[in-house]
Amino acid sequence: MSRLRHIFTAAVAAATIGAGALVSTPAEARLTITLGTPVIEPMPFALPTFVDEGGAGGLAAEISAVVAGDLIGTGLFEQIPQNAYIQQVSSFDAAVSYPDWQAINAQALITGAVQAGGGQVAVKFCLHDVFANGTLGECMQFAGDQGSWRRVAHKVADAVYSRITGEGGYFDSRVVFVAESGPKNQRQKRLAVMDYDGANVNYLTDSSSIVLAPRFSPTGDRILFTSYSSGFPQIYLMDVNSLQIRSLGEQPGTMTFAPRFSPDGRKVVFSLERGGNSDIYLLDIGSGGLTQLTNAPSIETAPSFSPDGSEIVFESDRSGGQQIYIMSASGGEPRRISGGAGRYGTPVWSPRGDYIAFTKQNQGRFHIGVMLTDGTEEKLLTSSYLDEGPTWAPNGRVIMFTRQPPGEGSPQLWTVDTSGRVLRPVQTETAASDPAWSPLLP
Amino acid sequence: MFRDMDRSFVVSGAGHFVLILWILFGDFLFSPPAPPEMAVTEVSMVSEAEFNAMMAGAGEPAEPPPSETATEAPAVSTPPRPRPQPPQPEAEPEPAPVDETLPEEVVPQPEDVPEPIAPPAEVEQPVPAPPSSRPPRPRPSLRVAQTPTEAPPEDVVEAEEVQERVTDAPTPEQATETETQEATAPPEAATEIVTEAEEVEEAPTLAPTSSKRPKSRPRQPVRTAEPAEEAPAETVAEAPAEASAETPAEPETDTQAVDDAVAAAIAAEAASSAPSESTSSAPAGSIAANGPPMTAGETDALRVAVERCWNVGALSTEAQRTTISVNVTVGQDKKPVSASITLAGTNGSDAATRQAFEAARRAILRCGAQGFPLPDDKYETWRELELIFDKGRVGL
Repeated sequence: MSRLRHIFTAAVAAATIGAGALVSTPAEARLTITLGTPVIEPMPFALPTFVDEGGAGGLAAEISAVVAGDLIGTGLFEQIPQNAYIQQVSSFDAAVSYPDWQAINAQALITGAVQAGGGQVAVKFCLHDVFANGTLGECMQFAGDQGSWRRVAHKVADAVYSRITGEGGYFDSRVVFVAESGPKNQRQKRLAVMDYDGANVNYLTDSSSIVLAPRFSPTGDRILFTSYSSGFPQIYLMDVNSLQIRSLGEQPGTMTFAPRFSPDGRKVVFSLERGGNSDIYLLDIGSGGLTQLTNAPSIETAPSFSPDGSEIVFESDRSGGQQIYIMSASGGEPRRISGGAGRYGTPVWSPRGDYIAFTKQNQGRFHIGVMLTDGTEEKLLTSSYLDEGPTWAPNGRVIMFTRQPPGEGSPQLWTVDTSGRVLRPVQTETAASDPAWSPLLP
Repeated sequence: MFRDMDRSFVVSGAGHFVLILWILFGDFLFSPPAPPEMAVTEVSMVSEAEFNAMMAGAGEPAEPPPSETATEAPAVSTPPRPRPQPPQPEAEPEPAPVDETLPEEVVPQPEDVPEPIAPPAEVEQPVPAPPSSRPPRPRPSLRVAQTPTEAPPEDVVEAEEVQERVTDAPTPEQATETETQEATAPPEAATEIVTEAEEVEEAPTLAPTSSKRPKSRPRQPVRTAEPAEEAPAETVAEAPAEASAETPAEPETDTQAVDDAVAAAIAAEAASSAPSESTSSAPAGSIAANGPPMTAGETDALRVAVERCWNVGALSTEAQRTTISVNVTVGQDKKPVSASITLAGTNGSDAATRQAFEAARRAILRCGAQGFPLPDDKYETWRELELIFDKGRVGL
């Protein structure tokens, strides 16, 4: 009996294996080819001028231009000239003739329409995958005040960018920076805020005192900065809406500088210099409680929180040279993560938490670079006479920084992506330095 | 007794035999040295008057005494080579006329060999000074050798066999090799990322500019869950477009169909992983069960054709690192069937897989629009394809 049971079990097993073989036959019949060498080039897209569906007038063309400019500025897309279009889009609801767009090698097509009236503007758009003969995701619509039409356009571009690349957008964001004017030995500096692309500049302070290192709060409604209004560097907190300013962590006989918000926006980490020695402190904005995080006879400065708030990256010369260290947000023994030649400074943790941007000085040149949080995979993205002060875009894939040319040249803001391929200047009204990117606007 | 007689006879015979040989060949083998030849000098008879006349001429030499150089002149028998005649000194006396009375048998006197001197220096023609401030290079001074130089060596002996001349020009064989080189695909775009820092930095640095840590790459695509529904984007005043419902149904249906196909592929992948493992781990072009095998050149042509349109420049970093395998059916017209493009495997997240799959689908459809370069007689082999898009870890 037992022998019969074993035979039956073996027969069932054999049948099962045979069935599996039958199932796998179709897959094995496929010719398998491995591809490993893609091309890396901007994706060509077509963007016919959005259709005016009433009251938009020239606004439709302006919104179309802003959307195209946002995408082109990333370096990941290139626009096909409109005079090459075969199909003329005169109605948003008209059927798309995909072969016409395939013929001009448009891989993506953006169609849209603008409607304005009553102080409001509404933009609806569709993103088409031309070679798939369909849309990528659902068509969408954004609306807002007519005066903020640029924000609406940035929203459209963010949606397109995010849908194609898989990364978050960053076009609908602002940048606070130091606007500079006057000769180099009598430079006047003011805090200013602008759109990420340099438009809509608003000045927040006058030029009565030197201001440095502005930093947006995680919600974008407050700004930390350092001012010499008292004769010594001192950190201040500004409300963006009311422009009210108050000092933070003021202590007699000390200098405070390099402030930065914690991810929850309730604390500020900064450097405090006392008796010729600077250390890193943590200030609770609500209670005013001050906690010393480092205690070393060296210079510790430029702290930056990790996105989860558990760690702080900062620069220190405790090893003799300026290097980057990471410590717990509650203090403790730091660990050094930079190990290459040269000096490392101004580390900034990516909002995605994967990279740390920094300024590096080596062999007489300055670089903006990124490295993983354990110090590996260091990659220098720029090389210049003077590049410094990186700040991350909200999506953690673009960095803005200050580039100072030699001689009497004025500082200017530049952006570079984390691959180092796309390096562009930011058009500003005046000389600009010390940028800090805001989060995406709500 | 007779033995003693035989020995005598043998000894005697051998002795006579040697003697006879000596007589016959001794003169030839050991001939005495030939006697010295008799020295014979030719003389001629002269009369007394002729002898006196000769002696009188010897007391007043008709030629100046030969110089020291002249005594070392080459042999008279050597015919003098043509050379420019040097100027003769004016005080040099003319040679005495030969007495016509002398008999013709008189031994010919050696000809006068001119003193071997260097030819006169040519008069330098004035040349315009070069437009340079460099001092002129001094010319080597002319020197007259005290002794005649030796005759230059003979010309180079010509080889009996003619050797081929060595030139830089390509030989016909080389030209043939050049023609037979395989044509490569035209450059489409950069496949490597070059940052500004890498472009500018020319001076070598001892410090490493990067400390890359290789990350282990997946051996095979891993199944993932069904892609999540697309989250609604944040808006200022966001609302679904009214026109979305009015847009042609075909695109939406197509996109929905593709999404469904992706989901179905993922589900099928989850149900049976063994087939995918076997195909994805196999070398390129190694599996072709339904027809004659493809050659390496044929599979390479197909691979290159798709890679030309596989653009990952706009993909996220994670999507670029994601390896996916895509199944596609190719029609007899060698064009891919759009609806047959499905995801067979992936090792990335849902979002990254979606971006990577869309890029792969675009590559297949774009470069397959005119038909792939496939052999006509192997349709059963390439009808069903599994394309593995594995960019690896390039860039950030």
